Amino acid sequence: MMQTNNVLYGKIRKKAQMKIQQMALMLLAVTLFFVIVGLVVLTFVFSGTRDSAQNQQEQNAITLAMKIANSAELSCGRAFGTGKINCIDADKVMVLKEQANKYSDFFGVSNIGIYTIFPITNQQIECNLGNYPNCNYIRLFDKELTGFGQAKNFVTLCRKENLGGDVYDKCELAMLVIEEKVVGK
Amino acid sequence: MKFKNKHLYKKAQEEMVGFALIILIVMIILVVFLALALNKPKGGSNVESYQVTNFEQSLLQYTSTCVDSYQPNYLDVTQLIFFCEKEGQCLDGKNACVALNETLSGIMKESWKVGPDSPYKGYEINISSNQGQILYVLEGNKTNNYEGAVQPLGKSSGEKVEISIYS
Repeated sequence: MMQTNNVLYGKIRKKAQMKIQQMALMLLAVTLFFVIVGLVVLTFVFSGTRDSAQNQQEQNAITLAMKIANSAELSCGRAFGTGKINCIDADKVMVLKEQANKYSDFFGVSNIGIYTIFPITNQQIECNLGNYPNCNYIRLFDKELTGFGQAKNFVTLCRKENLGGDVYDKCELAMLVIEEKVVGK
Repeated sequence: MKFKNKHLYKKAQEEMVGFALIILIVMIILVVFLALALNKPKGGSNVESYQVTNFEQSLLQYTSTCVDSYQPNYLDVTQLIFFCEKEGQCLDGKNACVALNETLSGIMKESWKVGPDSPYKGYEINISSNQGQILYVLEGNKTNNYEGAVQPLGKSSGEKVEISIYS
């Protein structure tokens, strides 16, 4: 009788252990399953966030370039007729260049460069008071453009030209390059 | 009795293994899916629509070398388009449409350098009015990935300029 009870007890213990093991394995598997599902969901959520951040950066770059191109210090205003969009007055820029130190914090950027795209010239000639307007690159502040943190925008670069005593408007296609300030520099 | 218990144990073990296999397969599939989703390359164009819009606005304001009546009344591209539509002739004897074609081709070539190593595969510029096409320039190849801009020139005869950049 005692032996039968012991055997029965042993069997019940084994059965209980098996059930506990089954439950533990199932809990582990279910937990892992939900962790993986959670990771997949987070991937979807964050990829949307990453795209939004990139779009926001692009929008900021566009806004900055347009704001500077249309600022009173650089834009054509009414000097070249009304209705000109994204127009930069090259004559103003050259005057501003001479006082650039006073404006270094005004625009909130590291540097501003304007490159004439057309008409074509063989080499890049930086503008100064000695060679203007026979040049194709205006750098507003003294430091070199680094090539980092740049926002670019096509602009119209206009100036007044003189032909035999007659003054006329000459507008060329240019690229406005703005280098944003890097934190810590 | 012994045989029945042994059979039950085997059945339980088979069920456990089966369950574990299913979980394993589902997890592998999800991990592969996760890896693909994380490594998805950034799609999109090498050209943004705002770039083409700004380019088009600046292009139309470019001062050409064509004078219509007296020096130094150089026409900008917008005025040259109207002059070409009227089949005008520049003061230097050049046909207005030839001058327009040369100006636009030169600007497009320098602004959007097309080539196999370039991010730009082609460009197209189409100037038209209600009367028909005024000028059409196509360079390079058309692709399914492009950005464009349309600028009406504000006259009742419906002149408009369409530019498409293919990348």
